[in-house]
Amino acid sequence: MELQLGLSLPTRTPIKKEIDLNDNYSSFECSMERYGSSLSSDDGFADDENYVEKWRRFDEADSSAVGPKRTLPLLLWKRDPNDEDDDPREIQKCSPFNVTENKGGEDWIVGWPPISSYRKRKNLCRQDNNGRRVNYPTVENRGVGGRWSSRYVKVQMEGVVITKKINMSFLHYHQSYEMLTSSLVGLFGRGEDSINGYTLTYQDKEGDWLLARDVPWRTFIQSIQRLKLIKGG
Amino acid sequence: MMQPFPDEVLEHVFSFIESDKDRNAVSLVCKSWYEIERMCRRRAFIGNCYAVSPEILIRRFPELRSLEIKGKPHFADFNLVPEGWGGYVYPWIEAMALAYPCLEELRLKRMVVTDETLELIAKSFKNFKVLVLNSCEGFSTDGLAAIAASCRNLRELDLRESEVEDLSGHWLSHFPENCTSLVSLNIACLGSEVSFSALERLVSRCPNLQSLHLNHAVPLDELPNLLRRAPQLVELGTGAYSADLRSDVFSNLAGAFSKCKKLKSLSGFWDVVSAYLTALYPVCSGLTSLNLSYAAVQSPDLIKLINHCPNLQRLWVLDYIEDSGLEALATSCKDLEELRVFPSDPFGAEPNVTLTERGLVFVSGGCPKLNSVLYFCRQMTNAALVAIAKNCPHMIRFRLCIIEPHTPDYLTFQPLDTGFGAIVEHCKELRRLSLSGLLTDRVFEYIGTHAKKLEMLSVAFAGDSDLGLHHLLSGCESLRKLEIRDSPFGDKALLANSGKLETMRSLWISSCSVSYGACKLLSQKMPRLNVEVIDERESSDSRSEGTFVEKLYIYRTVAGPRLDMPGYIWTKDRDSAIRFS
Repeated sequence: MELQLGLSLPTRTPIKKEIDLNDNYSSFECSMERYGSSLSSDDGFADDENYVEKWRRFDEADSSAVGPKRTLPLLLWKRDPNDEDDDPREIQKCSPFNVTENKGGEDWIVGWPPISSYRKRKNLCRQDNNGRRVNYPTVENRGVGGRWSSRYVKVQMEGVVITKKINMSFLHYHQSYEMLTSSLVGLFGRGEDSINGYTLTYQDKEGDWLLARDVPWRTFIQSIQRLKLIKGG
Repeated sequence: MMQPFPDEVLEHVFSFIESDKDRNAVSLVCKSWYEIERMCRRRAFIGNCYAVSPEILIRRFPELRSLEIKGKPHFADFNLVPEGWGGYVYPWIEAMALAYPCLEELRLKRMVVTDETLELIAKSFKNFKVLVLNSCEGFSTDGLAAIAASCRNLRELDLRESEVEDLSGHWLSHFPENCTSLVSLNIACLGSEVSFSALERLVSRCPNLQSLHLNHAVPLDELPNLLRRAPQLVELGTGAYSADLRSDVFSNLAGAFSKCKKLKSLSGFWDVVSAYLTALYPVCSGLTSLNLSYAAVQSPDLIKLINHCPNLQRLWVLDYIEDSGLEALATSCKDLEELRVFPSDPFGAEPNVTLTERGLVFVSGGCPKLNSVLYFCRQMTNAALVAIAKNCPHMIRFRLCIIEPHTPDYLTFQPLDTGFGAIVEHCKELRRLSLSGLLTDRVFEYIGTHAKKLEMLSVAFAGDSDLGLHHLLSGCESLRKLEIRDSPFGDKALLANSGKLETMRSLWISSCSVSYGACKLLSQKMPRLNVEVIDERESSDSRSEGTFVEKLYIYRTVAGPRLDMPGYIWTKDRDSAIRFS
């Protein structure tokens, strides 16, 4: 699914506006209402239908979209977006092992033997001075789409000097561009009135900057390297 | 007829009933007991954050002070649950911030905790005392700084096995100078250096500190400084336990340890240099718990250490202990209750140590109180399992991992059915069991028949047909959690025993033979179950009725379908939306 999704302008907006953004806080608030709603409440049903609608449309977007990607030339960023990460993970730094090699050449069984990922992580750097060591290669961890390197993404806002870092789980937590944009605007201390003044863009794995709302949410989540809020609705 | 007690009296009586199970039983006696009990309940445990909603919890228990919640399935520990699955604690905190301003304790396991969440906790609960984050993720040291700065009465900050983004070691200095209430601090999971001066000052001013777990970045020569400031410690997790061999470092360390008369539990020992282990000898006789599972110490050195620890009740080690070390353990530690042996080279093709079934048989024979075992090894026999079962009839937890899947009894080449059968037959108190090795459907017949108190069962690479799963679900009357991977169990057993699933907390099935069609049927038939298929394969076209699902997570709930599912989860609601809209 390497972004052959062509992100030409969709014939209709991928998501209809479903959340009232007249809210003082970030869209955490909005999403919380969804959490809270149970099936028996009217709100619950309304939310569900919207959800379902979104799901269907993503699906359409997935299968129908072809053609070249529309990039944003003003913001080209050709470097590896993770080059300047502040925190090179300890894996690269101190593992004495070739972490992608295994002895037999056979495929690893994910999650077997059942050793917790915490234990694996902790044992990466251990090697005693008798040459005996704890040998926990991390093929698994690295196999899942570069899990380690991509856990945090940087966010910029046009006109703001400071760059923020957010955890991927923060992104996963959101369910739509509206919610995410609203949260991010809040993150930079801007109020509700500024939300419509900003557009969410992202940098994909090839270094191209794209308009976030042009692609299905899931594709966005999978390919995102950096985020930027640019001025203009 | 007897005059009923006034509510206040009952409330007082109930306050002595601590276990959740007993409180639940009390609340089922009659309507008035239910009312009184719920109004005075201070603690609650939620085994699955999607089984109930914050609103339902708050409505029933308006006066909670302490809450424990679990999020992701257990198999998340082994990377089987994809990123973004869920388990967010934020909605809980947000609801509780309004409902429980007096909340004091929060224990979370396998949940996603963002910095925003920690900030909200710090801001909302004025008398907050205990934060335990076990195997949680999604937050950084910035969030911890907020907790440190704002929770003036914090007693316990325990990060257990969480995955914390280390932005700065400076967060510790956010504990205000008048914070003296800490009883327990566990930062073992952190990667980067903390500020030693801040740590020393904090330790000095907390006279009740009982438990301190340092991280790898705290060097050995720093340890005596901390121990001298807290000779009252009961539990200690060391930092890196290595330094160049120098007599002054050694005597300084041994001197500091010898003043800690109350030490009962030791862990840490990252990068251990064996020669420094002898500095522990002065405290060894008081130790009841020793975790050396991150310490690559060889058998002779381990044997010497263990010989100094006659009162051990719990020992976690790497398989470097070997059979000879376990034999020594069996001779010297007669009070041992729990043994965990972890592999040092789990992915190697050949064994790197002599650790076999014999080691475990020694311990089971020599330690009559042994009731909890986690044992990674490469060979096993039915005879050994039968001996262990007979030696330890009080076994509560028995988890055996024979590293190579489908390994038979290496002497007879038979499946290990009779061995595990003996375990469930003789160990009447067994609550938790993990199976491995070559196993047929017969073992599940034994388990279904005999394991009456079994609550959690882990199955991998076992069984030969649906019958295996059927035995489990139609027997095992106490079963609450069942997790199965890579076993040929399918639709028939699942659908035939669907009622059983409502009595359980959850069922995980991955890489088995369960079809989409069965999942659909099950979710239609059982509205109180959430049937969630996790499928990261790309096209939804492949999701025809007969296709086997990748991963399936089923749990009972009173909260209805959850609304925070990532795109790779299929449920009946999403399916009907695609088809009929």
